[in-house]
Amino acid sequence: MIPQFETNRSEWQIRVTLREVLEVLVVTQSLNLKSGINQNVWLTKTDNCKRLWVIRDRMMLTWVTADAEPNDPSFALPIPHIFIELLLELMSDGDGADIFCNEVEGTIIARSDSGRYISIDHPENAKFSAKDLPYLGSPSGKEDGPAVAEVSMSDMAQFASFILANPGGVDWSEVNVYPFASIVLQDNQFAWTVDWRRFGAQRITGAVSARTQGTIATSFFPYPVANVVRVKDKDNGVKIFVDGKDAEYAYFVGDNWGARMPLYPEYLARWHVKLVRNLKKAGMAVADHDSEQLPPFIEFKLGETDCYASIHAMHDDSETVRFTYIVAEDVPETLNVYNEINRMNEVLVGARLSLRENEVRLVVEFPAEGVEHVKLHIDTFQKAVTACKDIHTFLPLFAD
Amino acid sequence: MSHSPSPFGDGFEPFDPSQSFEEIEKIVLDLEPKIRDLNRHFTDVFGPCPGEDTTWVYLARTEEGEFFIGFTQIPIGKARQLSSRLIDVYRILEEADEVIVQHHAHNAQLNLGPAIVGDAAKVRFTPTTHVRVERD
Repeated sequence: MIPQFETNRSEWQIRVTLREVLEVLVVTQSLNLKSGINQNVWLTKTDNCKRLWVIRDRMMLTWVTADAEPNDPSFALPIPHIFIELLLELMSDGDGADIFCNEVEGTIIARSDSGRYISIDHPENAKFSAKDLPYLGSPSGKEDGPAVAEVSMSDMAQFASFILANPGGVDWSEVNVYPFASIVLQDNQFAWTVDWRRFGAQRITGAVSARTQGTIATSFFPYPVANVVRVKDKDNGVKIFVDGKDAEYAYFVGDNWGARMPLYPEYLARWHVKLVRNLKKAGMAVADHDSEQLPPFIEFKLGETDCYASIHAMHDDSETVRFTYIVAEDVPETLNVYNEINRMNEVLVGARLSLRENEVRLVVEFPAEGVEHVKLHIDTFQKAVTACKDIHTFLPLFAD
Repeated sequence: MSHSPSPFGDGFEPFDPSQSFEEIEKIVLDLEPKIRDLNRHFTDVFGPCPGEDTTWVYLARTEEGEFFIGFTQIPIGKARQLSSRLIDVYRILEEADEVIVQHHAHNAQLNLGPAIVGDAAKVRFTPTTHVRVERD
């Protein structure tokens, strides 16, 4: 049977060029994305007639822009990764191809200038969401101390090669989470440090000149960005943008591409997933979080009681897990209140009460390495919560 | 025995003498310029009506005698065109709101994000997802 590529075709078609498809393929290959059945590249259009290819990794969002045709549709078309590779092969004898759909068979079709065809099943259940938009702005709508660094491409290439350099002496079987890069944009300099000491190797620090506005210090998982930067060596330069100290993302923007990485500390990456998994294993109901950032604390239910789990970096480079239950609110700082809290602390085992910001908080802490034994710490926490349950009713009586 | 409130039986609606032709004419004359204005404004914002009637809204009356403003039916093929126009209008309004907010904000900062991110920042409105179509 000869397939009928031109029958039942969609009203729309999108003319793509060899150059833009090559750019998209270079990005997807530099990220070493797995061609899973649910892995798609999104193709859509901006309102100033620019075409936008959006590539999502597990953490990073990358995009490539190209000129659009005025009649390009404005919807987001999901294109399987494998189709991008095939598309490039298809166009090898010309400058471009037309992409359209067969609306009877539910397929995406590409036709080259010389009349070659390829077709692939349209992805099912793919959904373009707000998080697939490259620029989300800040949740508050206001920028808070934004910082920008414009870095030449040769300097960015140095950043990439430093990041991707493998230090000697590392037992790679121990490397579960690669070290994050701590970066600083300040005083016309872009500086970074990657700390391998946790794996018995060294810190690697670099700095290059940059044109900076504002100042920021933050950290992120740098390897996907470094991989993309490495293949973009013909660009004029890269702009790095971080929208203030509480920003969710760092943006790296080149001539016709960009990348967005969530910002959070390395210790959260190391412990957050393990903590959530073990809390669930211990029977706790753990609240989901919407952000791509790992949140600073996890909400969970101990029976009917709302509690919090958080991970903290200590001064000696160790990390601590903390369970918190807010026993009472609006408690004044009086001598009698402190006396009563101290009296309670004398009978609590493995837990302590404290008064912070007019809240009486019950806290259990343990080294993050003990996260595999969360159940033991939950039991301690449970007993302390039960012992403190009635405090909120009589504690205000101790106010002066 | 019938329990219909009408002495004429179920399904029979007698003429309501409380609304004479003169009164109806008065209502229609009152509403007609409003309908005309609405059609003018809809055309200004959304362009010519893609339906067969060429007017966006029309005056109609329910079986109970209440007047209402109806919206035209549009062919399915024109839905995407209208949807695209609505997105354009949304963007224009959103950008206008942003300009107003920035203009009025005390010590407003330069909105660096979109300027740095460039073309990709222009898609702030989530596009619809193209879904698989399999027709018989």
